[in-house]
Amino acid sequence: MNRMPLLLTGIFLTFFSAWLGLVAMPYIHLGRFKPQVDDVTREETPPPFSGEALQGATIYAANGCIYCHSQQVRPLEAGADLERGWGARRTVARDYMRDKVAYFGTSRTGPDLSNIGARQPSAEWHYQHLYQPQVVSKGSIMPAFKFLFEKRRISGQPSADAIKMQPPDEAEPGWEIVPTREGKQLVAYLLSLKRSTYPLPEAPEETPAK
Amino acid sequence: MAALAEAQPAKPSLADSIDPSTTESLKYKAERAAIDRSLRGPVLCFIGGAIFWLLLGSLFALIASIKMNVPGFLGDSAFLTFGRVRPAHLNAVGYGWGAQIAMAVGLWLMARLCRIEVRHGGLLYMAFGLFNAGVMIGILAILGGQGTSVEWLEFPTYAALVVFAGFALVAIWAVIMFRFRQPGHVYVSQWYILAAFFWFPWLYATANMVIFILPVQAAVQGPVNWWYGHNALGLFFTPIALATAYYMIPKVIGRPVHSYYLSILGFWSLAFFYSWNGMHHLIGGPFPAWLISASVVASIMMVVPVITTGINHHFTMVGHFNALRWSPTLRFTVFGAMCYTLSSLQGSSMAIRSVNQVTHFTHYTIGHAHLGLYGFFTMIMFGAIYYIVPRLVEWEWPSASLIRWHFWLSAIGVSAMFIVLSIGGLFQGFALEDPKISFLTSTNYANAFLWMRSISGIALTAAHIIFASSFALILLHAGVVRRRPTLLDRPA
Amino acid sequence: MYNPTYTFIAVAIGAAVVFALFAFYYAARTGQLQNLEEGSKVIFDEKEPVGQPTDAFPGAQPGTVPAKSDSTKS
Repeated sequence: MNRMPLLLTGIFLTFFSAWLGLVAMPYIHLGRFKPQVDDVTREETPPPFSGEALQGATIYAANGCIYCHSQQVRPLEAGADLERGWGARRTVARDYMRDKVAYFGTSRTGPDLSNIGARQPSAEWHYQHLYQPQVVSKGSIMPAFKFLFEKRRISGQPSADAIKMQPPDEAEPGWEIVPTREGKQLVAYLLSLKRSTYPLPEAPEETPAK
Repeated sequence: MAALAEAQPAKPSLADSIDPSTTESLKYKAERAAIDRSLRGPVLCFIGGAIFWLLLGSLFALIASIKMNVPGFLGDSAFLTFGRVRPAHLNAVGYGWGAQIAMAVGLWLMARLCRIEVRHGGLLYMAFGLFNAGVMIGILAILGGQGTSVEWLEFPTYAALVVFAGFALVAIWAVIMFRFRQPGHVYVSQWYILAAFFWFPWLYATANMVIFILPVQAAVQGPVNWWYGHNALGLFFTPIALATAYYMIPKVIGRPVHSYYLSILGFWSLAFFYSWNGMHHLIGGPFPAWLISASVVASIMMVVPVITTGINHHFTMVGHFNALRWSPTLRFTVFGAMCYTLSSLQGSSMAIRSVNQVTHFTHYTIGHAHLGLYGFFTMIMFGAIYYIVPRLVEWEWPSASLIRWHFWLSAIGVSAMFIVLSIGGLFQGFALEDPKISFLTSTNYANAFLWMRSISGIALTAAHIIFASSFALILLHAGVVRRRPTLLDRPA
Repeated sequence: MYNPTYTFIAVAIGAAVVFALFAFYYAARTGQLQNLEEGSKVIFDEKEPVGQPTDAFPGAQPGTVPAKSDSTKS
């Protein structure tokens, strides 16, 4: 058939051009970041995740936090993110170099979590929030993640990691609510999310005009 | 083909044995019937599988939607938490329904336009088994906490590989069919189908490779994720649905497309511009400006193929709108074609930075997705099923009322869903952009509309149940006994 | 910062453009861009010619609106 070479070449080339531009180019351009090392303290930014936090990232993925929460702070000219206090500066590509999978997110049914570890540094807050979001965030429509906790009978001393809830969420006398291993990993991950709390050469801190 | 025409027994349900036809026209008809027969098993399996996932996906959607209104609803078990049910919905309707029905319709159209019977259809059953097993494993994995939370790629690698194998088999079969085609002009629908079956495996393989199998630094994953996510729509679902519309509209009303020249222009501009789309999902994100700008430009340039295709579809209809009264296929197809124009122009507008700033993280985007994937793609697929299945099972649809109910519930349901999500999304977006308004208020603005979304979702689910019943009845040859489908008859 | 792969990609894109132009020129020369409108008629044949509707609600003849009594569902 006479038009076939034209058709097949076109189908290939149009797609290949985009593949080069939107896959190969980012691969080269964004795939090989190195951390910024402080000359004096030898501290690396962005800091590496702890093993527990990396485990927590998979819990974050497994339970689909990404469907309501983003992890990206837009620059001043592109949104009100900084004015909402979600970060000290926009996030840039290098901020994600430590992640196995980055959860940039496309939805803000819940607030941005890029710097939630800095905005809510208390583990207790996170546990209470995950157990019953309305307790610490009244009116929230976030579902409770009670399956990340276990309610168990106190044997001997109460556990050190039992969480304190108020009625009606409080455990019955003689019982306690303790986060499971997954729960602890998730909170470790959330507490380590401090993506734009430190400056990088390519992204100085920005202050929103009041 | 002459041998085939001779071998064709005068089967009363098919060949018009009463009407004295010329050998030549008998040949054409026998050919079509023989092609349909050779595809009957595999295509009906794919359609049945797709409808199964459509029903299950609607159920997931309803659960997820109600959870937005009542956070505690079914909230105590891990596997029904919102963050798992929502991706289960997306993947059930996206792959289980969308990709599967695209394969079914693509295969049928390809065989019909190449005018050849499918050979070794048994391999297609294998593809059917692999694909559905893959989707099933993937959905169970998501519900079981193995989902990846990379949008549109939530299946863990082991499920994705099975899905890919099933899809690749179908794609290879379509290409082989194309190679064995009868001589003659290659119609524009074939271009789209061939391209879609070529592009999608490449897309899917690239995305899974770069993100999961040979992972690179996470910053690359964003662009690759959205290049895949947008092009799965743009370079797979869209071409298949456009191919269907390019066949169904002229074929149903019996009139060639308005301008074949424009259809060629539309094809090439789509191939060129759509493939560069995707990065506009990352506007404001932590990526270089050139990357995002490339997609913004390409996205706005999508106006070119959309307008040319729109002119073609809508102008072919001019003077034939009466046909909407007598053709179920055309109703769905024309509704879909209108939604294509609307959702694509809306999509281009959403790539403009100032618009995107407001709509980016809101339900407005969800509304757009449903207008595109449901209003456009799914409605055109419904239309195609109403055309194809009677020809495969040699029986008519059991009831005109069921078809009418299906159409109106779907059409009104998706329109309502689009409208409420768009309005709610805009309220939410403007609130998010005003730091003086508390975050919670922005969520509350949207929530008032999400109730209405749930109701429109119930309408869509009802439409799907009606549709599935219709499909079950036609398979069982229920309904008024007729000797042969009137569709295959010549008009009185 | 310079990366040799950029040069490769630039050359590849350039080559693709040249190749596409050549393919287009070849197609035009061999008459593949003639009679574009003819192609739109390949989906019709003697049995289902132009002007022949091919779809209907169950119980109706193609191209006709079913009479109320024709409706199979009461």
